[in-house]
Amino acid sequence: MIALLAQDAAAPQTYGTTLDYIVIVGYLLLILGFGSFFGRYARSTKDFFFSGAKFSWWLIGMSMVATGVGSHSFLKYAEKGFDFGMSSGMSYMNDWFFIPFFMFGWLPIIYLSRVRSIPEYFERRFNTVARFLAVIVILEYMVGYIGYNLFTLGTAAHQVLGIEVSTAIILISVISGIYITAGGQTAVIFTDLLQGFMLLFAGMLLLYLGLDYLAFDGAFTIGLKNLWTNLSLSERLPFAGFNEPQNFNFVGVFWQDGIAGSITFLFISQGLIMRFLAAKSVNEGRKAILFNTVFILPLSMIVVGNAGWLGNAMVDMGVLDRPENGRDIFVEVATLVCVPGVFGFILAALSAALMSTIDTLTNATAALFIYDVYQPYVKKNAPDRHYMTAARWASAITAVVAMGIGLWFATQGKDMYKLHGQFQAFVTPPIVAAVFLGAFWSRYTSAGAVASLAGGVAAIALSKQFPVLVAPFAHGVEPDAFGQYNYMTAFFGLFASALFGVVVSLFTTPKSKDELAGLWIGSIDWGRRRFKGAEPNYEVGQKVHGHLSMTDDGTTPSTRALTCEDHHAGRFPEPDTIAPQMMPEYPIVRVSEEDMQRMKAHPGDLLYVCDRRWWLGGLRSMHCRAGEAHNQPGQVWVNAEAADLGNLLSNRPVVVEKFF
Amino acid sequence: PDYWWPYLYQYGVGLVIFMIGMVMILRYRSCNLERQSDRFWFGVLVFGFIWYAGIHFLWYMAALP
Repeated sequence: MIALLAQDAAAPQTYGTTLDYIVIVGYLLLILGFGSFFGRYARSTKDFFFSGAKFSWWLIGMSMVATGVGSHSFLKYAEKGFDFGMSSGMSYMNDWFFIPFFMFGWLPIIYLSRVRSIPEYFERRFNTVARFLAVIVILEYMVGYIGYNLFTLGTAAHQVLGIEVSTAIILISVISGIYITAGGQTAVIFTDLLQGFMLLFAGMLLLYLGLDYLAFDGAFTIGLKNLWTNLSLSERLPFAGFNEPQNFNFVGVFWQDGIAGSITFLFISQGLIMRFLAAKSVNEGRKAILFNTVFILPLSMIVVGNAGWLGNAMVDMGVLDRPENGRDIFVEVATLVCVPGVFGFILAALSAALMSTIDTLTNATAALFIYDVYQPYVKKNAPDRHYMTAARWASAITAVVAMGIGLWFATQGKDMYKLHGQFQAFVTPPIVAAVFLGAFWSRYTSAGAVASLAGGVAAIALSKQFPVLVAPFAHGVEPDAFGQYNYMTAFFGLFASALFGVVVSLFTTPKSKDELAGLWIGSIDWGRRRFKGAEPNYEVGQKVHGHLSMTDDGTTPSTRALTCEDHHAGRFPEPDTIAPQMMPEYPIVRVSEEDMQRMKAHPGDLLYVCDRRWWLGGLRSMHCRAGEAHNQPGQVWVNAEAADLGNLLSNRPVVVEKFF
Repeated sequence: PDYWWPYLYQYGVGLVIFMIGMVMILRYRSCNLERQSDRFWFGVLVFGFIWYAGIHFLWYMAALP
C-alpha cells in the first residue's frame, strides 16, 4: 500500500499532474455542494449567524480545527520546522493558562448576555465611542485577513501548479462565497467539520509517507529513528532557545503568542465567538474548548510542522537538496514523497485550510455589518426577513471585497500586506486590553476604555520611533536589523494599554453594578437569571427519552402566546423591558409528570429537545420552556410550528434535557 | 540544564497567570464548588495544566539523546 502511495526517490516531480488537478477540482466541487445543501436550514438571522445556538460540543470543537489552521499555517510552520526543528510548534501548546478566564469568565458572559458581536459588548460595557472604534478595527482586521489568506494560497498555487495567482484567488473566493451566502453559519460549521478531518488526515498522511520514505524499504520504525537521529539536540526540544536567535526564540513567542495571541484568539476573534454562540449551552462551549485545546492543538502542531521536520532530516541524509527558500520545504517534501493524486489530495487540504478560515471570517464580517452598522444606523426595527436578505447580501459583498483585497495584495507585492500587518500591530493590543479589563474588573470605566484604546495606539506608535521603550520587556532578545523588537511590541502594547486604562479608571466614575449586570465576571449568576427570566434551577436531573408528538394542547410556538394569568402566577417571566433581546420567545413544550421529576424540572425551566441521532450534532433540535406536565409518559408534546423551526420531525425519538 | 530554562519559565509564569484566573473565578463564584457541574470543570482546569506540563516534561526527558 505504502509502496503505491510513496514516490520513487529518484524522480521528484515539479508540478501537479492532470490527476492532481482532477482531485483538487473534485474536492472543491464537493465542498461547494455540501456547503450549499445547508442553505435550507438558514431561516432567520439567528440561524444564519449562530445556527440557532443548538450544536453539540464535538461539532463546534472539530469545526474549530480548520478555522484555526489557515493555508499559510502549513507553509509557515513547515518553514519553522525546517529551520528550527520541533520547537516550530511552540505556539500551539501554550494556550492553557488563559482557559480559566475563558471557561468561567468570557464564555458565560457573552453567551448569557446574548452579545452578538464584540463591538456590541463594547457599547453595553462602555459606550458608543468604544463601539465605533471596535467596529472599524475589527472590520479592517477580518476583511484584510481574508484577503491575506487568499493571497498566500494564490501564491502557493502559482508556485506549485503554475496557475495564475489571480485565477486561484477568484476560484476560491467564488466557491466559498456561494456556500456561505446560501447556508450561513450552519454551512460554515458543517463544511469546516469535513475540512477539519480532511486537513488532519492529509497532514498525518504526509508524516506517514515521509517516515516510510526515510525507512528506505525497511520497517516503519526505522523511518522514525532516522527522523529523530538526524535532528540535532536543540531541534528535538519542544522549545527554541530562551532568547536567541532574534527571529525565533522561546521568550518572544511566549509573550507574543502564548499571552497576547491567546487573549486575542479567545477574547476578540469574532469568528470564534460566533462559533461558541452556536453551541447549545455554556457547558457545550466548555467541552468544545477543552477538546480543542487538550487534544486538537497538539495534533495540529504535528500536522502543520511535520513537513519541516522531515525536510530537515532528508537534507541531512542527502536525499533532498536544501531549498533556496525555507518557505518551499512543504511543497518540496510533498512532491518527494507523494505520487500523483496523493499530491493533489495534500494540496486540496491546503485549500481546505484556507476555505475554512475565510468562510468563518466572511460570516463574522457579515454579522458585524448587520448588527453594528446596518441595524443600528441604516434600517432600524425591520422584520427579521429583511435582515436575513441583508445578511446574504453582506456575505456576498464581503466575499467580493476580500477577493479584491487579495488581488490587490497580489499586484502590490508585500507592501500592502505589511501595511495591514502594521495597522493590526497598532490597534489589536489596545482592543484586547480593553475587553480583558472590561470582563474582569468592574472598576474599569468607559473613560478608561477610551484611554486604553487611544493611549495604547499612541504608545505603540511611539515605541516604533523609539524602540528603546520596548527594551525593558525584551528579556535579552536583540533587536532586528532595523532596531525593532518584533516579538515584544505586542506585549509592550498590552502593558501600556492596560496601564493607561487602569490609571484613568481610578480617577473616573465607574458604571453602577446594575448597569454592568451580566457583563463582567462578578455578575454571571445575575446574567444566568436574566437569560432565563426567572431564578435558575440548579438541581441535577437526568436526560429523558421520548417521542415527539405535535399538538396545540398547552404548547405554544412562543411564550408570546402566554396569557397574563401565566405571567402573574410567576411560572413564566414577564417580558424584559430593559433589554427585549434578553428575553427570547421560547416555545412551550410539555412532558409527562414522571419525566419532569426525572429531569428535576419545573414549569418555566429551560429545556432542550434534540433528535436522538447524536451524529446530527443538534441540527434537528430546539430550546424551549417546560409547560405544565401531562400524564402520557414517553410523549413530548410540541407545537407543530415550533418543531418545524427546530427542524424536528414528527414521531421521531427525541432526547429532552433541562438546562436550568 | 540550560535547555530547561524555557520549560521552567513557561510553567512558572504560566502558573502565576493560571492561578490568578483560578482565584478570580472562585472569588466571584462564577465557578461555584457547591455545584456538581462546576466541581467537574474545576478538576478539568487543573488536569489541563498538568496535561501540558506533563507532555512537555516527558518530551524533555526523551530528548535529553
